[in-house]
Amino acid sequence: MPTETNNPEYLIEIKNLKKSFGDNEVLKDINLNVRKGEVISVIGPSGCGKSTFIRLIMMLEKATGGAIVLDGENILDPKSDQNKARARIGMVFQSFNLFPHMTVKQNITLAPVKLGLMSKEDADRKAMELLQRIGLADKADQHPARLSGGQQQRVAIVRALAMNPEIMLFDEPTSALDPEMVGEVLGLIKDLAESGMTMIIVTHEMGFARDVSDRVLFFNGGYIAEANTPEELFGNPQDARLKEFLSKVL
Amino acid sequence: MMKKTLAVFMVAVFLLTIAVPLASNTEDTDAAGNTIIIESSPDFAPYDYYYGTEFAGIDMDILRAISNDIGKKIEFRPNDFGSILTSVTQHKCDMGASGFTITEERKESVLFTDDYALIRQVVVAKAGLDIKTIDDIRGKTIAAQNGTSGADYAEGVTSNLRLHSGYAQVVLDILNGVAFCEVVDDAVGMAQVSAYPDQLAIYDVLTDAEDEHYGFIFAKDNVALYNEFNESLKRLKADGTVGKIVQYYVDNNYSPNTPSYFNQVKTLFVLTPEDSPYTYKAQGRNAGIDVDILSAVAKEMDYRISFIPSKRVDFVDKITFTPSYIGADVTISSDVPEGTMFVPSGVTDSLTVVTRSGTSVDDLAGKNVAVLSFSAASEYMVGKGASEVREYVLATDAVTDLLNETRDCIVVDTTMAKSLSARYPGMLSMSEPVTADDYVKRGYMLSADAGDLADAVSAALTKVKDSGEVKNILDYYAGDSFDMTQSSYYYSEPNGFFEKLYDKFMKDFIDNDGYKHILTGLGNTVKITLIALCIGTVIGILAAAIMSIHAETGKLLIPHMICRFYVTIIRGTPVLVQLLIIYYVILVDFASNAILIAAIAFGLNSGAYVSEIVRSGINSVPKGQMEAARSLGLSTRQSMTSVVIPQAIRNILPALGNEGISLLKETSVAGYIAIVDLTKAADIIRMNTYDALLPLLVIAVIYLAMVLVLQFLIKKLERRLNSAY
Repeated sequence: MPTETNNPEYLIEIKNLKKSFGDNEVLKDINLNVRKGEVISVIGPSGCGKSTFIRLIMMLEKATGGAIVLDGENILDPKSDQNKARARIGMVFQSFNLFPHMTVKQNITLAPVKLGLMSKEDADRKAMELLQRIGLADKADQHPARLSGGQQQRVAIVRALAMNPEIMLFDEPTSALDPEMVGEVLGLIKDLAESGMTMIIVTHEMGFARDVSDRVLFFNGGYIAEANTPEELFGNPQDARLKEFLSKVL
Repeated sequence: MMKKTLAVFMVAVFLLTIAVPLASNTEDTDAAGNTIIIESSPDFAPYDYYYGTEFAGIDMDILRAISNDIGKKIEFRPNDFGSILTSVTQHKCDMGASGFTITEERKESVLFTDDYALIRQVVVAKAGLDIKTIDDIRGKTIAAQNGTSGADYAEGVTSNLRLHSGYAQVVLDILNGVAFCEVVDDAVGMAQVSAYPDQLAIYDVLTDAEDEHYGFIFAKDNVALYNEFNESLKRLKADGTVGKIVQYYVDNNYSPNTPSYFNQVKTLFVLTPEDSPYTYKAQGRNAGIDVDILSAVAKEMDYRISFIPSKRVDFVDKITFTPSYIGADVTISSDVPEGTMFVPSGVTDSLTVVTRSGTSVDDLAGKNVAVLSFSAASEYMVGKGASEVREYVLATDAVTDLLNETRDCIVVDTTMAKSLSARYPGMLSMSEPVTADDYVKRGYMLSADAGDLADAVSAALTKVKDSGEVKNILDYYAGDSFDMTQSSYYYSEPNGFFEKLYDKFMKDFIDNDGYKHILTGLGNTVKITLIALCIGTVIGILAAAIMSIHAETGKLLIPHMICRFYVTIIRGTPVLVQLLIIYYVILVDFASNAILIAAIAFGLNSGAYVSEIVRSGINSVPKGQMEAARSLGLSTRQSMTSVVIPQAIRNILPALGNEGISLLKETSVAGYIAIVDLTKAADIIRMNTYDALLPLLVIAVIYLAMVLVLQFLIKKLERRLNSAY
């Protein structure tokens, strides 16, 4: 078992993370340290476990083994307050997952108010600010069903941001979008990256990954097969499987 | 919007859960505190039955007398005969009174008071059957009430037994020809026959049936109350009170149309000889000039009226014994029998001489003359020089003797003469009236002690006369030659389907206050359904949340297992069985608030179904919703209540509505635990009137109406929720 370290250089340290679904060992041994402000993209073929990886960080799945240390605390430890940890991490889903029975504004203010982080008025004000920023203030009182896919995903991002997360996880945020809407969402993510937000992005958009990332991870066979700067990884791939993958997607 | 609706709904549920049981509780504390609760099966005239909405009968009145004697309040509660014994042993009530035959077997579980009635088993079947010995009913289909001596007896005679929980079904079986006969306590059989004089008859052929005695029953450990009642019963038997009560019901022919002995001041009891145009029966119903005049008088006095067939010779005895009786069809004579008085009705008559057709008698001197007892003719014959004047009790006997030439003529009231001519067409001749038109003065015989009643009757009679009603009545009968076949002025035989239906409707719901039973029943059904709905919704959502949280996180294992167990048991057994188990086994010594017990039972039942519905609703919400909520830092419970359940409820609203509708309909078995719900109310009316069609039809329509209203409300709510997003 790895011992917990408290390296202030890293916001999150992931050590020997394992995940099996029954007999299927999806992640065998994942180790990753994420610096504050770092933007990491995760790529890989279908079924390589990249989505499972960030779902493990969000604790939407139960890890089979390993540790995720957030600010010195192993959040996989059953004794740690997982709800509190989740509140510090933001997540954006492929299928948006806005709450259809609430208005856009209610979607954004629900968690901060429920968790007692903000008063109703403050949360409302903050929600309107954020909506203003993405140009959707006029949709505040509408239900998500009235919004386009791109608008919904941007609201979903803003909903996560309203919690002031220390790190944002993106699980293929543009895969469910019509092509003409991909741009607005990627644009927003890029803005976020530039503002210094720490992010892990699972994506199929290679161009975007190359553009926005500090580091790109290639997942294969349950391991991080290759990790490098985007220039190196895309320009000079070493792993045979990565080369094959890139030849197909690029 | 959704959230607000939900909140309002939950608050309403909560308030109702608290308020309704409280409301019904206060009612009951009073009852439980000072009042002796007595259970009875009120389909057992003359012992226990409903007169309108009032309990009447020998049992009831003896208990009222005891209640007065010992100074304790009593309250009657209806229950199926077969359930009362258990109810008593389990202290659901304080005692049982429903014609319980004292048997060794029953003595093992309850205490019996001294006996207060002696009965024997008889056979009741359709009138006119050739039933001479017990062998004539052997092997036939026999109906009986469950748990009675009659049922035991019938078991020894046939294997084709139809056991019912109430006598209404037993009687209907016979009337419908489903059963050949029933075996029943004699007085009860007589009451049934008096309700259906033309269709049913008693066949006293069970020569081997033993005498049976009735007693009241108490729980074995309820010795103090038992002693108090039994001592009082002994006193009341000794001082003749019990005898008076029984005699009162005997005098009323055991008719289930007899009000309580203690409530008879509000009824005119009219003795009717039923043998003249003044009082007779047409198609089994009372009719005649005096019947109608007194009916009008009773109406004027705001009294009910009850007719008791009685011979004129018995009038004086009966009236002096029971001062509330009024003898009808009476000729006022100069010598007033001791202890009585006359009240003239204002109707007068002349005398006429009736002879054989083709003969005539101009001079009564030397003639052999027939007259009727208690008529003015005897007085008229004084000094007429007749060779013989013979009094007859029955006019028909006088006519027989006239026709076989034993008598030369009959001197009789003109009205009666016309009636006799009509009844013996072509055989009699009538003279012109031999006296003035007001020679015979008609009226009523009352007790000398009933001065107030006499004054009230006279006053009402004057009003009826002044209004012209008496003249209308006289004209009505005169029009048809007094042939004693036409029905009462106030009753026209219903003609055609709809008139008959209307007649039945009035009898079922209006005349006997049947609608009050329906209203009580409706109230209780609604009460039970509402409380059960609240309990069921709360339990159902709670159980579903627990099971879903367990499925999501693996937490709450023990509560989850309890929920699974609960759902499995409830869904795997019939609601009626659950109701009975909760009433008789689980909440045995729970206060006698049966409505609350029923609401709890139905609520528990509904909760299991609601939980499955809510669970399916929760499963119908995409997994991503839960994940999104969790990823925002909300706990599982917060995610459930704020995100998943509101969406789930929208998805399951139609299914929940249907569950509410099923619940409403399922409460129809509440009658099994001594509750008068809507269905039981129809049962009670059927017990009173033996009419099954209309009461059932009416409650079916009421149930349907309630379901349609519910459906409408659900549709409306659904539309509102849909428009929310």
